[in-house]
Amino acid sequence: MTETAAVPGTTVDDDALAPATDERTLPAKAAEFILSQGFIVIFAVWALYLALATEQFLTTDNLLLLTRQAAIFSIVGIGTTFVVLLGQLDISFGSIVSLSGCVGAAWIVGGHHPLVGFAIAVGIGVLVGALNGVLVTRFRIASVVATLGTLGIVEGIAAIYTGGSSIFGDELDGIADLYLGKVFGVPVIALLALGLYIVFTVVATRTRFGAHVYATGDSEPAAFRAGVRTAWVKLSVFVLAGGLAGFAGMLQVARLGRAQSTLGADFLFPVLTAVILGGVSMHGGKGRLFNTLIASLFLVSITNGLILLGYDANVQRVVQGAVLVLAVSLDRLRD
Amino acid sequence: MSRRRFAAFLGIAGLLVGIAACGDDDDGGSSEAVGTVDGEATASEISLSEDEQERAQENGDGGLVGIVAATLATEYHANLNEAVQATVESYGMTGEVFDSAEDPNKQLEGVEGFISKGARAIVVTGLGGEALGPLAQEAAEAGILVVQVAGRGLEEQGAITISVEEQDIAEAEGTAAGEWAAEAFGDESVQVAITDYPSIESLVMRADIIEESFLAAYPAGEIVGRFEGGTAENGQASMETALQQFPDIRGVLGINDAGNLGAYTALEAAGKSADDVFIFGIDCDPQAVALIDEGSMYKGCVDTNPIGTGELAANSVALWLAGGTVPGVISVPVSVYTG
Repeated sequence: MTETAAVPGTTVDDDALAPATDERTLPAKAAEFILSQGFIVIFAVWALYLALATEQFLTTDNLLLLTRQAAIFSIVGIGTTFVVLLGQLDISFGSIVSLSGCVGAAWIVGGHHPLVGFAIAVGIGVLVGALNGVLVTRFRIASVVATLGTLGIVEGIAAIYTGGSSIFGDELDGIADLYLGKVFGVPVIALLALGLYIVFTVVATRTRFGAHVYATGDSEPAAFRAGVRTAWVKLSVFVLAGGLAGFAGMLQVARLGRAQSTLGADFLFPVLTAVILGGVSMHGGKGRLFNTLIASLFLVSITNGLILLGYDANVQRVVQGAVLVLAVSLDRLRD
Repeated sequence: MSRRRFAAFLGIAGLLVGIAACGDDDDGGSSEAVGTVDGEATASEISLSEDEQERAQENGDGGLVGIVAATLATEYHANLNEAVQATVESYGMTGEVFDSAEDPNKQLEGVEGFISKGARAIVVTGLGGEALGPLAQEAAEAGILVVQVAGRGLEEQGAITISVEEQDIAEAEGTAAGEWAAEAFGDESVQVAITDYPSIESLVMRADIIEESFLAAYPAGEIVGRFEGGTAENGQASMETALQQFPDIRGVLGINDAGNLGAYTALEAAGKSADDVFIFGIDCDPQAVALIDEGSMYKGCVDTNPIGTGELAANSVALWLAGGTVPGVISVPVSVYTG
């Protein structure tokens, strides 16, 4: 039905004013959901399978165990997520975990207060993160190359510092509760990880800094022209990532009760996989921090489930590799 | 292709030919062999007389001994390679360490590098596999002595193998653990987990022999599965999950102490005590030794004596330099430490 409009010579078409309807078909909507949140669907299916195939997966103890096992590398994942949101890549975090943990542990075993050890570990992480940031922003070295270089440097320093020996002692028992302790039955470390995710999700989504991170990742030239200090944002993010990796180094010491130069050697795969699987675009500007946490839980559930099912370590590697391929494929399809 | 580019290619090709031609005159390590390699022996050390020490220093002439380490990231390997280096340097030679980072390809690169550098001898802490054979042959032809710690015998290539036999190490652990369990549990069947490291061939074999010898000494034992160890983190994560499925695990055997120490942390967190669980490992990591001495769950470890083995490797080089005859295979006896 048409009406005569207020402007002579024109007509108003009611249909044109009607709200737009989503005319996508169900398969198209499903495809978009799977591409954006597909890993959650896969996680749910996997968890359902394990719940049916094993008696132990859905027990309270096992579920809390998953949160504890995912906590430390998911904390590193916070920093890595911010870096990837910038469209950059930092692969030095494993070596930061190693060096920070070793030096922090040495100070505690040497008789200093655990807080001193933590402060030193975080400080080392911040320094290495700052180095990464300077290499990327000031010297304009591609982040993957710059952090590959710092990975080697920091790994070497950790090996020289420890001389191949492990650092342990009764003094480290004081921080063990960070990993083993519980509050109302929930592991302290899981609460710590959750708390950090809440804080940094607020930072990412409710602060100007977070907006600048997304803007810089989406289009650095456009963000720069809009007045964003993109170099400062990038430097800050690398410092953040380094500091969190340093903190995670001490948490890893709390977990293992010892430190050695390979403390963070196995972090690269799960952290990067969790970030990509969680939907953070490798091109930058897109992604949600909380999904990294869910993806971390998914990853530990894979290893946990395969052990409960009785599969050996080689099968675990195959499945973990397949999950990484799936994650990267989903990422490419999303883009 | 432009003339300038073509000329550049010709120049590079000529340079490469020139380098190769110069290289033909310099074998990068051609020295006459001074000693001989022959026979087999079982020994934990090689001693040199004063005369032999002097001759070793004289013939060594401050030269290079390359040390290709399987890894420097574990206590065992760090001690082993440091001991080689320190002993080599006590003979006035230069000991240079190359870290293979557990990569067999890098190991070969390290050996090739030392051959090119003109080393008098190369000490390799092997990762297993037969790839070292041809290089050992090449080194022998260049008058360079190769000493391999662990791995397959290379006496046919004129090299020395210091054999810390996987068979002996694994059997020592399995048997000691089995005998301990038999005494503690009698005919009662208890559940036992094995921590392994499936990506390294020699460690797979080690785990197989541990299991076999354990069950031979304690037939009532029930091996509930193999769980990835090798490192403390793997050992802990694997044991945490294994305990969900097998909460009554009473024993843990491992291919090394590092993985077992991770498992120890998981067991302790699960409330297990020295009366509930026994753990046996390999390497006698200082932390493991401390736990054994405390009377904890950790009951024993196989002492592979990395420092003594390193000194043995270096002294075999020295004896060869002194013109002596060194056994082609030296089997190092192992012992079990239980406190």
